Amino acid sequence: MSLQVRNLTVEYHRDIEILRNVSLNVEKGLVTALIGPNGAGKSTLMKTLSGLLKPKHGDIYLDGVRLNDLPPDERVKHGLAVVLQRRSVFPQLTVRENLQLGGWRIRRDQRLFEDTFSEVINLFPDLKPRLDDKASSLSGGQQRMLEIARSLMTRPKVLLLDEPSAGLSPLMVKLVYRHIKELKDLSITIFLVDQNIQQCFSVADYLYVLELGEVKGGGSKMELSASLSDLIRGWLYLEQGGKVGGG
Amino acid sequence: MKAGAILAAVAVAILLSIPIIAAGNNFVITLGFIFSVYIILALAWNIVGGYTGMLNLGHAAFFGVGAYTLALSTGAGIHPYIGVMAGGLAAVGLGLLMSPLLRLRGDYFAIGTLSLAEAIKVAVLNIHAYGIRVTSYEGLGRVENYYFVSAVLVAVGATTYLLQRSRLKLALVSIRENEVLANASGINPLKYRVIALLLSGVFTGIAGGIYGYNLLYIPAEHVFSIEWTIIPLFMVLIGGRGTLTGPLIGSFIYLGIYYVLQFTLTEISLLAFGLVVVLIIKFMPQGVIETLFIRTLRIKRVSII
Amino acid sequence: MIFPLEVLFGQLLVGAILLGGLYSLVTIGLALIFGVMRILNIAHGEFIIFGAYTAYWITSLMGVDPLLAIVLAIPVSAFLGYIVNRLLIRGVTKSFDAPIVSSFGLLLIMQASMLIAWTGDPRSIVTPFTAESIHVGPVLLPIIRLIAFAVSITILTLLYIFLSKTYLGRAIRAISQDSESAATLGIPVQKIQTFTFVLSTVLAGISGGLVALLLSFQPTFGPEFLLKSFVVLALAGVGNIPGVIAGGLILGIGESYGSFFLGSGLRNVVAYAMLIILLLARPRGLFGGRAVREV
Repeated sequence: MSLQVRNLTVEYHRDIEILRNVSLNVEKGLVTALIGPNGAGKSTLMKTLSGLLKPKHGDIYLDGVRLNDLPPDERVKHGLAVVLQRRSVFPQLTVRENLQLGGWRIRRDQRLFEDTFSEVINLFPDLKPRLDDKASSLSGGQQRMLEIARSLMTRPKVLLLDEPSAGLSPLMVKLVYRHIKELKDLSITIFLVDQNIQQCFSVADYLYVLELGEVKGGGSKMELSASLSDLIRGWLYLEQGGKVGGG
Repeated sequence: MKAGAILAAVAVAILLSIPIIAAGNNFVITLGFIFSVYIILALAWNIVGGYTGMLNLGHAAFFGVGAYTLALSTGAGIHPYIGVMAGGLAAVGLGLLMSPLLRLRGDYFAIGTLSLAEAIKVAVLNIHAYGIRVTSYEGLGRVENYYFVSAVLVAVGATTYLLQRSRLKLALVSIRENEVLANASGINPLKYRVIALLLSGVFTGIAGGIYGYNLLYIPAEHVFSIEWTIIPLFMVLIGGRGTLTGPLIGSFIYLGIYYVLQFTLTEISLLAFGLVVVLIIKFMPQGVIETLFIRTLRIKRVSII
Repeated sequence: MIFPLEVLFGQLLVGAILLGGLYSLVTIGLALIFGVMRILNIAHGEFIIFGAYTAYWITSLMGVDPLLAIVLAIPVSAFLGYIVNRLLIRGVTKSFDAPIVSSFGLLLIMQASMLIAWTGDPRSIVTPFTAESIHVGPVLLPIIRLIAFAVSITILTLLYIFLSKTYLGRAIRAISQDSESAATLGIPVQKIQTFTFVLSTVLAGISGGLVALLLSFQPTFGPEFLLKSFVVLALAGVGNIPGVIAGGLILGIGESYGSFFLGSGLRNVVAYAMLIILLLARPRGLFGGRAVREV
């Protein structure tokens, strides 16, 4: 067991709960995905896990270490990395500098730093010819790759991906997911949130369903695909019922 | 609502009876006059700084321009109270001049207004290094001025009260909270901000005018001094922004602290005052009222206003 | 009126450029803090004046060479910066203008303390070469201004190299571009912000020491330097050292020519007018480009 979330409750503006008693496990070496309709609280969960939001109660453990009270940068030290949903490359720095900054934690270990850098760059060969270009000159898809590559530079135990396909063209989405599959083949533990259910299913070993801030169930790919059409019909109903908020 | 109306009536009654109770005691009347001027400035600053959230650091320019216009008008033989109103009008003109700055992001607006006010101050100082005299008018003295300033105070209070329940406030607050969203829902941010700035300017200009007439001599260095920006700003921040009660209570707290420090620690009053400000921001960022009364004492937020 | 060309383009221009170099150094601390912490430090001018006094007292009490005194003043500025950051900046709510007001309070505290400690008498550091000049053709170059210019440009160049070539420097730039994203990579944002704040107060202190060599100063002069920094910043945009240098030079030139033609009383008006026009025309600075993203 790698990442454990226990009874996590997050509030917004005193009384509106966005997450209620969320519990889930992310198993080592597997891809775990969280699916749910718009406004279910998926991004809120990601921000809380990475330390950008404070939970009201509940616990987050990574390999037995309680992360709740740690700021985002300390969580990275314990092996938790996150790729934010929004664009988050440093636009005025080069691709190389962006990647190097991902290696802050290991910067003093020259050898490890170099090795990690070449491992990461081999996983994302598209970035190789662009190393000395400014990150802002990359296309949307390439920026997304850089964000994922940069997070891998932290040598995470668990990689959190928040809507990796957001804002990308279908072609780019495919490309990003091909990379996620490669990471999966390397047994990197991934916790993934995405609107794109089809892609989630294609890559995930285990899936959780989040609706209105509560975990409504979970199961392996096989178990869930049977009830998938019912699930989605229910979500359309929820989304039309005027439930709005961060996805 | 009813409690609020009674409170307001009591406040106005006290305000108007001060000269009668003081019975010719100049010190009390002058103190009342100056307090009223400060409170007007705080309420006026709050219209921009509180409701639109734009930090106007050039508020002193409105005040100085008001005072200067009054002086120039009396020099031209115009009735002083008409000159005071002309001061308000001149401040509106200045507000229009300042309004392109409202397009800027908050911190740039702060820099821009601060510089504009300083530029005006330096330019005026360059012409009248020692300030100018005001021609006084028979029969309009301390007491009359006090009543005049009370009327302005009531007017700005009433304006804030009406603003609280107007659609203008909704527009301003929605712009403050999320400009993009407000824009998308058909609110023109610039237009509403300009309205707020002009409202804020007219009262401050009038206050500057009556302050100048009461002084009968206008040192440019003094009426354009940055303290006419800083003090209202602190009053509002101490009390809490974007309300009517906040700036009012903030004014009393500020004036209390200020005069106590002035009399006890004359030498280091400015130093002590800076410390108080820093501590308030550090430990009570929502303003004293919110922190002490509403959060600590857990008084339920009553919507009197 | 006709002005001889050698005055207009010789002496005046050279003087303006030498002054402009110092203005760049005066500004850089404000720019760094604003870029990395998103705090508009209204007390920036007070750190400059404090640096001027520190250098002044070190020279006059210890009889040290003025330039050495500026170096010896560095730890004092750093210590003050650390304390101020610890007590006033860290932990203050990140609401959009609480830090502005808080630094306003700091301005009052520092100004009042300096007035109480050192009175309002104007002071300046007199060096053996204060009155010396070098003749280059028809142009007189006051040595003291040359030194101030050279020191300023050297420090800015070193800072540029630090920010663009070192790992820590890049982390500082990363934080100024996206601090949240930096935190998710394990970069200790708060520690680096503290470092940047201290670095900025040190730079302000050094520029204050140079100011003391050139001009007479008083505790109440802080806001004037703050406003000059604003002008340079508006010209430069944030986080852009070549821009800050260019901005400083333009301010120096604008001020010198402005006061030459309009009278020295309006010297500052020229600066303010430049600032307001610039803010309206290029809200992100003349050389700013898109370095800072709207949030």
